[in-house]
Amino acid sequence: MTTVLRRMPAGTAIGWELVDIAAPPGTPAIGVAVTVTDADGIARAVALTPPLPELVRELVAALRRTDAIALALSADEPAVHDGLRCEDVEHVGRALIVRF
Amino acid sequence: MRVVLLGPVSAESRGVSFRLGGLKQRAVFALLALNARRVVPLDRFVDELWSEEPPSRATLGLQSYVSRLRRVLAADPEAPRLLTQPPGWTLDLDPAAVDVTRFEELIARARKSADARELLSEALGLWHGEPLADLQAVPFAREEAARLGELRLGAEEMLLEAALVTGDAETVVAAGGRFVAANPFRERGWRALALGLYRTGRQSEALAALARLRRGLADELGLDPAEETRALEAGILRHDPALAPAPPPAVELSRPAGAETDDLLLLGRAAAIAAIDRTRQAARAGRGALLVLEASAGAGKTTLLTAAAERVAAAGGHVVHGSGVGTAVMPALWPWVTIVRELAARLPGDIAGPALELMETGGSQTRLFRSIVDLMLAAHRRAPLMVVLDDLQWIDPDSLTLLALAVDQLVGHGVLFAVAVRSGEPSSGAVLATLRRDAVVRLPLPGLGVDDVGEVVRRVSGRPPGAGVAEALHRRTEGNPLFVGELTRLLVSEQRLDAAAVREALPSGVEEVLRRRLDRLPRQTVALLTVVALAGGPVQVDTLAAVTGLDADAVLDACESALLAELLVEDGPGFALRHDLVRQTLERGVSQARRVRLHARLADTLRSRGVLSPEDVVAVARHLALAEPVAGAAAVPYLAAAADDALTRNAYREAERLLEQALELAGRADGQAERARLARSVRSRLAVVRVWSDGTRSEVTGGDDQPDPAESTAGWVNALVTRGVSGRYGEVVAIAERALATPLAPAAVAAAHFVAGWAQTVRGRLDEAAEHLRAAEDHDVGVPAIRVAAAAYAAIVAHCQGDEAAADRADRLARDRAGDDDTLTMEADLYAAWLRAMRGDAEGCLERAAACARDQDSPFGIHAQVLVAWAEAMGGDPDASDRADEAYARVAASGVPLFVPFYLLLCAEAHARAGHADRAGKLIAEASARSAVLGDVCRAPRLVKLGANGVQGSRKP
Repeated sequence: MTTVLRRMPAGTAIGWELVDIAAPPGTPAIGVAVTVTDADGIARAVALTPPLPELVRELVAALRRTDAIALALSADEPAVHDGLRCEDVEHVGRALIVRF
Repeated sequence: MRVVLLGPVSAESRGVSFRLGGLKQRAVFALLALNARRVVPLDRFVDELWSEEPPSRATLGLQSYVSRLRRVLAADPEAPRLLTQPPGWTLDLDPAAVDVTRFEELIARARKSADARELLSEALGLWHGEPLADLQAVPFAREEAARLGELRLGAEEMLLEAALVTGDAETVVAAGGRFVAANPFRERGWRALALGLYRTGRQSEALAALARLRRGLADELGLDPAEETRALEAGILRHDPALAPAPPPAVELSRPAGAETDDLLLLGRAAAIAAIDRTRQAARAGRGALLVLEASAGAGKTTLLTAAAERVAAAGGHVVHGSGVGTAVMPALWPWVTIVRELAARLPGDIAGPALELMETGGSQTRLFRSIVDLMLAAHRRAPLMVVLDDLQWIDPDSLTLLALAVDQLVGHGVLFAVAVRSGEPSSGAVLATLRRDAVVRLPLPGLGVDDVGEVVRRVSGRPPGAGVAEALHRRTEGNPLFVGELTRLLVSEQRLDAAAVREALPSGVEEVLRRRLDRLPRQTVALLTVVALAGGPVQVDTLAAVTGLDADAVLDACESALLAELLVEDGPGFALRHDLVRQTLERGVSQARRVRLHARLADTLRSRGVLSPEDVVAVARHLALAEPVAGAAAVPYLAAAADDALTRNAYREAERLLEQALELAGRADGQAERARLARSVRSRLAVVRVWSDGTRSEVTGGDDQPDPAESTAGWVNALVTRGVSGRYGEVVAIAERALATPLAPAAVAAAHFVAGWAQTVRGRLDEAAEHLRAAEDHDVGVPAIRVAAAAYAAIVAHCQGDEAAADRADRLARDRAGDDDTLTMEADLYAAWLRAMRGDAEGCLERAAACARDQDSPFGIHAQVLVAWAEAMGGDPDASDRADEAYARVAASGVPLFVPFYLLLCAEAHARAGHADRAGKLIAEASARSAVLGDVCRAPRLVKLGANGVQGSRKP
């Protein structure tokens, strides 16, 4: 009930931390994602840690507020699909594309 | 295919809905449907949907959406086709299949029709919510929604007028009331409502409605009503025959059950409204009353208070509200502060001047309370006055005392008071027991009847309740209005508003309903709402961002869904929860450990702002106290500061409560030394407050009007000294000099001169200080500690003026007055050590300060340690300058920051002696800065020179 997804800018990549704001200081993030947005406006998730469904859901919502035109994720991880159940997802090779 | 745009965008064919996709995809579809069979250029899509994006990226996105829509439509062979027609695309759809087109066509026909009611009703029946409701982030959708909304309002006004034409004034009253509540500046609707009221024999209510319009226009827009409205008002006043319906209705229609009032929130409140009106009439005859609404949460107390206030205001009365009750984050006496300010803004001249001045500068509680009561009476003599206080179960004790006094004194003059108390709270009974019983008029707040529940369902869901729904809801909720509304919203959102669902609905109480509604929101939104709940009052976006670590956009987005769910409301630049039960539900949804940590975060966020307002100080104190398991005793200084602030309004009991809480916390601090340090900073304040509050209680009940210093010389002096050392020396001088302008007993005269002399000494105003301190010697103040201090400060002033002989005489006098008393000797030693340090006499300073400094628990000892360290540094001890810094830090943290610039200059001198020129320079600069903030000015000639010349002037040759 007290988790939020924070954006942590770091160079060309963006770190995303799913954190519990009521957790004790020093508690590690619940989940972490790193995205890189290419010149074509597509944000690619280059790292994701569990819990993937929740992290992916929040990531899509957060990226919709950015300039990214789509999010590309690896289709290899089944748990990612769970997080995208409410989205229009395109399969492009071994990637999943969510257009914004 | 049928397309709905008058609501969330949707499209269906043969009972099957199309999956229109995300926001921009639906926006593309909506733009095409609004322009059915017309070409929408590509550039228009880009302008409307991607105006900030580079065209190449926008076009890529647009093409992907069009491609997607094409695939969606192609799945149904009967669906229209999306055709490419340069320079854009066309949706090959019959315009009549789009509800917006149908709506506009019906309105156009109604304008030409003699009886337009049927056409207008059909047109309005096409609406399923806000037009393009799910596309409000898109500019064209907002513009189109605004255009359609204006058309709808016009249609509703036309419908009201059409009903008047057909003689159905009762319907106009019911519908018109809802219309103007939602559209308070639409004069056409107000006129229809007023005419409806007039035609149903309710002339006074018709005039009251127009008065509300006039006031709303004036207050909100600075406008007068239109000529047509003024003409209608005049016509109603003189019973103009032209206002009669033509032809008049043959039968006087009875009012529908459950529609006693026009306001949804006042359903079922006819008896209470009637009681309010009777009380109002009695008040006009000089018999005021205390209207009491005591009921459970969600019963509609606040709504009824508002209605009572509106009725008084509509009749030309003044209504003042005590705000901040129950928010737990407002300073003491805050409800009355807001009331006095409200009256001050309304009354001419300086009628509120005495009350405002007493609130800001202090004085006895009796005087403050009496001045407020007098102010209310003065206001009442100009216009009937109503004082409104909500959530009385959480009022602070001083505010309650004043309320009891005001009720007692003013109901006999015809003043009305209206208070709401939540039943079932521990303090509710005690609060009401404090108030004068014979003045109480209890307003009935029964649960809603079945018909009223049905009406709530109809208005919330937009359609009549199904069979048995109202009965089932009534049984489930016992007619609690909030519960009815929330359960209906929940079932509507779950799309199962039927009797079976109501019976099967698991929620057994409104909190459970709220929890389920919260469960429907995104987790991030709930996290933000939890922070709002723990904040205890309205919260600004930047605070939410700081506590959660989100950026402002993310905060606004997350809050938006809560706003749409009507669980959050906008409050100035921030947000507040819609109802206290939402707060309770959220608070209970997180564990104690999590609450503690979030309170700590809130406190940190507020503290990071730097300079805190009195409201912030109270809030930080509250959050830190609630965060004790992780914050320890960090709340203690803030509680003490909040108590100091309460004292400025003579809210002694609130100050005492805060200090007792601080003392309790201090007792649980880590480490004996820390416990002792914190307790010291609280105990001295508490002693002052207790002396003072005892005097206040007897004063209030006994009605004694003696001048303040006569009530308790020591207490009065202590209270002013406490106030002065927070940097308010000017105020202290003003209060003392005002007291001297009144007849005083000799001891009180001496006390007042001492206080003024002391404060002027600290401010560096030597001539005024000398004059007051001399005058203080004309009478026996009767308090040994003050006699010692008066002589000692006279010595300091004489030294600063260059009269060393007089300084020596006064110094000896102070020592003599201390006699054999250990505490007084310690006090005299400290003063003597000050004098010697000012003179640069390190040896003499050490001799007088050393014994005093050994008592680390006393305020004298803390101050003496700085002097000892300075003297040792000047004697060549290379480590003493660091000890001086440490001792100064203890003084600064003691809550008695007296002579701070003086101590900083001594520390600077100690560092200069040790060769730390940089540190010394910084300390001199800090002395200057602190002097500017505190108004505490060191005039000792040697140190003035040090401050002016910097380190060079004091460096060892």
